[in-house]
Amino acid sequence: MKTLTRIVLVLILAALTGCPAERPPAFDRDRLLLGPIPLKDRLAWVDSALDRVVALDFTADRPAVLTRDIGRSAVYAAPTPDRARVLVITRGEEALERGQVDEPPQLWDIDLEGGNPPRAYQVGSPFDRIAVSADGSLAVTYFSQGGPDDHGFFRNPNELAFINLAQEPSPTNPVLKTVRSFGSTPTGIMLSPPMAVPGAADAGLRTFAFVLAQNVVTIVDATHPERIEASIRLDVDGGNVMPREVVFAPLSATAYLRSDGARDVLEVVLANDPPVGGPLSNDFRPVLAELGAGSGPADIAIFDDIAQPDRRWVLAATPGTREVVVIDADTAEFRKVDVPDPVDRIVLFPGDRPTVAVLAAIGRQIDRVHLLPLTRLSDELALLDVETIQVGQPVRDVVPVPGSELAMLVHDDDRTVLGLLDLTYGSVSPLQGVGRLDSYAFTASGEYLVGTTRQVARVGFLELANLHPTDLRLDTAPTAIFALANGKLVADHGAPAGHVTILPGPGAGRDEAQVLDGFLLAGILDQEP
Amino acid sequence: MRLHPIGLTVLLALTAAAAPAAADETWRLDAWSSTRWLGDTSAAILVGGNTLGAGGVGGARRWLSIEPPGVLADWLGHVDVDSYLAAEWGGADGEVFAGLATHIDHASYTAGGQIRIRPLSWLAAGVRAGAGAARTGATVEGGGMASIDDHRWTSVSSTAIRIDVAPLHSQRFRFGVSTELGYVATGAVELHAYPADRPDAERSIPTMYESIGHLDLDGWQWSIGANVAF
Repeated sequence: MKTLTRIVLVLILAALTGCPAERPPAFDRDRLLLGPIPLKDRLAWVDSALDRVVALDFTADRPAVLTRDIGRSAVYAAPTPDRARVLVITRGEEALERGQVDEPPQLWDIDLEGGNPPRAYQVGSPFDRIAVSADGSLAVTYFSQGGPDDHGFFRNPNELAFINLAQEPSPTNPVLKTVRSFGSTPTGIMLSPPMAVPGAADAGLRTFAFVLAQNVVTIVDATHPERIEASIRLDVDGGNVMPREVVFAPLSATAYLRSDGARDVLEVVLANDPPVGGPLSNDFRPVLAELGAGSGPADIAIFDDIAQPDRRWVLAATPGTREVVVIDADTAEFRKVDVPDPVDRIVLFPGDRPTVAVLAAIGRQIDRVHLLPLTRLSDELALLDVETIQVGQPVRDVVPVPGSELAMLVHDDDRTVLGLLDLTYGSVSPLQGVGRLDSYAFTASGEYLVGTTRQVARVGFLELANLHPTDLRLDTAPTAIFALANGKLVADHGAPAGHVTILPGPGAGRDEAQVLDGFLLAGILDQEP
Repeated sequence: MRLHPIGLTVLLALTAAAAPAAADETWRLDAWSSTRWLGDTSAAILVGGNTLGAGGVGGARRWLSIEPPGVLADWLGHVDVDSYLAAEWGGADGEVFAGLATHIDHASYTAGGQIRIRPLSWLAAGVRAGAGAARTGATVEGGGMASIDDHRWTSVSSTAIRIDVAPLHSQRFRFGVSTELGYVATGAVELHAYPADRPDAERSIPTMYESIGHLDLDGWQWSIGANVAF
């Protein structure tokens, strides 16, 4: 009996000491999945519970799953303009419970193409928006209009972090800066292409950040963010002015600003202004000019003259006067073109060297569009007039087809009725689908429009050369379709575990397609405690 | 340790064919309910701190019953050597990411031997060890996705100490209750993100299912049950 008693005691002791395993705290968190984020030949998702970026690499025949660890509580992610990297803001956390760590807010630069290890920049505050420069070398993090979350003792909605992504993290990278405020907070940030300030001692190319806020635009030299910013008050005439859109003319260090509540397009030229106040002084000043749109512009576009490449034009649509104003960006001289409708959308074709502008009244849902030739703008004697095309259905959106003379017209909110406008002939081909076009993309070659709807397990293809429609049956209904640079098409099915269908191209059959399932939960049971 | 099917067949044949030893009862039938404290992180990931509850049935046959010599007989009573077969089914529920429901499914089929002492006519205690095969599975569902459901067969072995109390007993029959405390070791199984309603492979797009990792259901187990012996 004693022996048995000892065995019992030993087993009870062992049982008490052999406690059940505890699971990693990640599995108790709410999970926010950011993505899919389309990259060149990859799709990426950010998993806020498992603190990792999961990417599918479609460069090989069989997709590969890549994972990169990031910090705690991802809140926002955006791709770089070259679609090679993903930038992720992580909120961090305080170590209040088991498994938590003290971690500051960080911006993660995840290179999914080059294989460089992730870089983490300590941005100081839990920002939830990112603006990235066109060359991907600079990023600015800022707060969305909702402002900072309710954590933290003090909260500063006008704070920004300027990150030089070409440099390693250091005490001077990022640079935290609070922009001058006149009672408003940023609504958006636009980063200019690299441009030089004419005549400045620093002749190098720089990126400028245009921080938009109600009644004010603040310009920061993002290449030298420690320098003092320049503020432009927009409400000098009274009233509320909300800046909406900035287009840049980098060769002349000029920006054109469209605002709600403003009568004209504001031209902002960054002119040389030698610094006088020490190393933190900037070396530019904004020179302002109102380009005479004459009424509140609803849309603007900027382009170089196809005959005289050194001549730049600004088009401003003023629905209040039913005109389109053609402005010579160098001289501010303008000509007005009457349009029968209150145009509020300008789309240029082709995008790189435009020869025609498509004008549409999206807000009024009028069943016609207008074409404005752009080839004779520099001829002052030429009559500028628009050609009206009846399209038969109200126009709700105009989407250019990359690399072609076609524009997709959306005729209803549900995107069930579409039209394809051929600018060469001024013809419109109506298209009808099985349901709402929830997601669409143009293939990398520009030869096909592909689309999906959430209720139908199919991918639709439209061959743009002859508008021949085909489709492919999927096994489950997709939530989004992506056209990758290598020609592959990927339908995401929106499953928390990860579920995609991969097509090698628009002409592929079901036997050539592949489905990958469960990649967002790959290896979760093998995680260390 | 995996019990080969041939070995299992031999054991069953021996159990059925061998002559009973001279003793009060030869056969015992058990039914029990058990709780297993899962000791591996993979199980904890799926069901957190929840235990794996199970129920089982089994049968044992006494092969040998000896009376120790001298004073040992006063302390130990009879010493029995038994073989047994057991089947157990159970599961555990949990949740991950505050929204995806999880379930672990487990069934085991084991055979083994045990040594028991019977110091009193109504009291027995013993140790046992066994091995066999187990089916381990898991499901993950919710979040608007098709349920993930996969299972695999693996080996299982267990050892435990046991105490039997027989409030009703006679020379040829006894009814008792028992409790066991032991450890169950299962082989880890690799599970994939197979959907519960997997489409017909002939009519569906070729699909690759990612591995979600290895699930191991090792842990301490405690059970209570009832038995009849005759």
